[in-house]
Amino acid sequence: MQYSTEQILQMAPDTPAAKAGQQLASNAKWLLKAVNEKALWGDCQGSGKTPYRTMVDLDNIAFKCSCPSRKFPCKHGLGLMLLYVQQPDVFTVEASLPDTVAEWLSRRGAREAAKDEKVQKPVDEAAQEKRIQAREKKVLAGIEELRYWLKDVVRTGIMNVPQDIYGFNQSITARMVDAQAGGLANQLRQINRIDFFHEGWQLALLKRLSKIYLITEAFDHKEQLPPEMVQELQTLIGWTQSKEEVLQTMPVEDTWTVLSITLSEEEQLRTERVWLYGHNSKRYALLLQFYAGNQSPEHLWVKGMQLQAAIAYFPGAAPLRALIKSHQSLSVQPIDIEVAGEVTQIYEQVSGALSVNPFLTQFPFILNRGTLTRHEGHWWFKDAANQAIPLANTTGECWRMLAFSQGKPCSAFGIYEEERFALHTLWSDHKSCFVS
Amino acid sequence: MIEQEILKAGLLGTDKYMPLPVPALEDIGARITAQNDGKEDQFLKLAALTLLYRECGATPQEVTATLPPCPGEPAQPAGKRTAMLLEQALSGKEEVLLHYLIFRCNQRNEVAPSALAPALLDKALERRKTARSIVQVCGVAGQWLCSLNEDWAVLLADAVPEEDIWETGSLERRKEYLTGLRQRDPQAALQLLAASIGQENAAARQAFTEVLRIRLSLQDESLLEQLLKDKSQKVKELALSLLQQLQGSAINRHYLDQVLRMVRIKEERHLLITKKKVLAIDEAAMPDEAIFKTGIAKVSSEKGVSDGLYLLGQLLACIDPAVLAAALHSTDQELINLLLLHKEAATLQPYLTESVVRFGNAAWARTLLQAKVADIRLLDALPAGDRVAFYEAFLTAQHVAPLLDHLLDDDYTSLPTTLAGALLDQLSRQPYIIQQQGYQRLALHLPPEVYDMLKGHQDKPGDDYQARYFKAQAMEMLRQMDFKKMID
Repeated sequence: MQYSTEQILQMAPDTPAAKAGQQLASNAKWLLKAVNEKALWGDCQGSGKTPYRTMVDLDNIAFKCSCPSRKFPCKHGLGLMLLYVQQPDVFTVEASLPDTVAEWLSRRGAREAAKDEKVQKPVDEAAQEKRIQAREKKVLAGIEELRYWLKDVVRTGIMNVPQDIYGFNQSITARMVDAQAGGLANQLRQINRIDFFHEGWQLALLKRLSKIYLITEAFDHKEQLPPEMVQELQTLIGWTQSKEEVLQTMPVEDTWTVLSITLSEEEQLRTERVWLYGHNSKRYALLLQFYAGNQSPEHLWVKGMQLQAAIAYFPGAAPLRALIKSHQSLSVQPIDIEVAGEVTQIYEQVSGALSVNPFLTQFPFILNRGTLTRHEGHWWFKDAANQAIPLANTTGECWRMLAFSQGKPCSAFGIYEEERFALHTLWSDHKSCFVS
Repeated sequence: MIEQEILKAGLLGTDKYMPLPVPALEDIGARITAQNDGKEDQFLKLAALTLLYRECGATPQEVTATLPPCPGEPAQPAGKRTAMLLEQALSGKEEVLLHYLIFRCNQRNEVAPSALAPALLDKALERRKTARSIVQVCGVAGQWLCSLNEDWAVLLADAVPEEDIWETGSLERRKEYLTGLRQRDPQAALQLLAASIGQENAAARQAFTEVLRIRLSLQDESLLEQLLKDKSQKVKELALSLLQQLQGSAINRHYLDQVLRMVRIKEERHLLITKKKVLAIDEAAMPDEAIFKTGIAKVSSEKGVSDGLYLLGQLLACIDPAVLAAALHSTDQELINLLLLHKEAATLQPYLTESVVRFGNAAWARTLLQAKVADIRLLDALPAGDRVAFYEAFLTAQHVAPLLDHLLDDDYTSLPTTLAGALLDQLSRQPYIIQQQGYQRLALHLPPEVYDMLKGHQDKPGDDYQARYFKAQAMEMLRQMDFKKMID
């Protein structure tokens, strides 16, 4: 196991759990510490008489603990892993697994198998068709209302929108939820992310409104569009594709590196975005997961880790979102990805991607041998030809990146979103810096 | 600016204004108009198209400005474990551990990974007292970042060349410089201060005057007398306090004369055959009024202490006990014994302690400590080797906290094993007498020999709230000791 402290702490569900995990990374707090090639396990003395049994699956990182915490992973899991990273010599190396650990690992394996079986289940096609038609009817009615609303907004002008930011789109968003057009509701919610207190909100709002209108217009003419684009539109409107269907498509087998993991929270829903890069396929993949409340993640990824995985992409115009069909964690290796192209090519790729899919929201990119610089109060990442992309990272992140690169050329992975470039990961000389 | 038309129409509303497509989009604009689905439909499609067109046509900006690269680092990078713990201490806000790690890195001339420098420099801004050691652990990368970031640049101001510190350094650095000079060459420091004190602000005047306490001599009297007329009340009070304790100064001589008027050693017949020396105090020998204008209170503020005795106490606190002994034609030991045997010894003892602490008189300090005077400051007057014998006296609930302040130094000197064990025993009985940070600091000063003892405390049965609290602290201390072991 070659995880760093930072990588382990990134798995923590929140800051208090990370801190508590650090406190537990002490030899004295564990009555038993053992390791096997498959798992780590230990007994931690809590406040009760019986110590907590904590287990970590090392093959596909996962945690299990007998403590009553609803956080996942709990502080004991984090503490045990941190202790192993810091003091591996205090762990007893065991050739065989104790019953509790072996049972847990086998149950995990059985669950994976059960998932595959679920794919095989037959469906009642007639009932399904009926449901599809009923839903389509509701969605179309919703779309019609949305188009009226959009037209009303632009008829009177957007000048007064900042006076009622929250009420502006509340009713229509709720209406889209009722109409089972969750994708459109989400698009409308994105309006609330616009900073109405800074100049530039006007264009940002117009862009959002006109793009939503364009989605509805394109869907109205779906017969004239290629199937991938129709699929893309359906997703944008709110038709979700079943994971089972996606998993049945031809996967891309590759060695993938986890380049970035971001977690955002909105209305008690946490969204995890994991960006992967396939070394042979030279493709990016986005694993998008949603967690409500205390829901535990299905997989625990670590930034910089490599995995041998078969990945199935959701169909679409320029597919990026994907699901893991099967995988095996490899070790954490220094990131070493070379991608041909300079800053000009990144701009061209963005234009190309937008011309294929005008509804594209995120576009991943890698730039090798770039340099961070500051110019006219802004941060830039430029190539050898002095062509630069403006950075959307926070000032703190930019200073951290500069400190890591020491002003020297380095490689970076970033995301183009809303006409802004944000760097997520930097690497150079077998070292990595995960910014976001 | 192809979006201007769209912006104008969007703000005003399509009822008031309809945009025209930009020349490049005229064809497609005409096709949209031809669909004839209403003004709003036309506007929304044109807006989507124009803004997409603008986005697709974006080109990179040429930026020739380049930041100077970071110079090479001559120092060794911190070891993997140390770097990992530094990162952990920073993210977990473990201040005590962080400062230990910084100390160890600096001691070994190692530097932290450059990616941690921004977080460390932010920490340095929060804690200016330790800023220099933090900047040092950031190495060349830290200095390079300070030169680029306006917020951190103040940290570099602390690293100005020695010869420029007095003119351009921060107050903290100037005070350090003056302190160093005062220790090496008191006269030069006095001259430097006398020449510039008039131009300083009140805070600086106070800080620099405080430095005169080091190697205070009669040569300082003239400047201190000038400062009695300072505009700042605090500076005046400080100057007066220094003059009070400056042996041989006009004020101090006045005090000594008054003490000699009030105190004398006389011989009394004992058991009719022997003579015995006793200390006689004449409380009625009141001084002239001038003495009360030098910071000495006329009326006692202590319950049960007469005005005369209170006056004597204040004066004794300003006189070196050795000087007093000589003035009374006695020896240190004789005077101490006489004072301790006097019926008012208990009243005078705090003033004597103050005097012993102030003048660092080892003989008096030892005697007072032997007489069970529990003032931790007396230990400072003793040579380091003589202090150990008295530590036990301070292992009480009331004195453990000050004792730890005295023992736990910034060099993380290991405590003697016996003392460490006794401290842990005391703390296990009354764990709330120090705070959590105190436990963490103590852990970093504990010798490895007490590790098992601490583990024993952790495993000890006992379920009352104090036992549980101490167990938690013991676990935390064991963790700190593990870390220390990992990097040492």
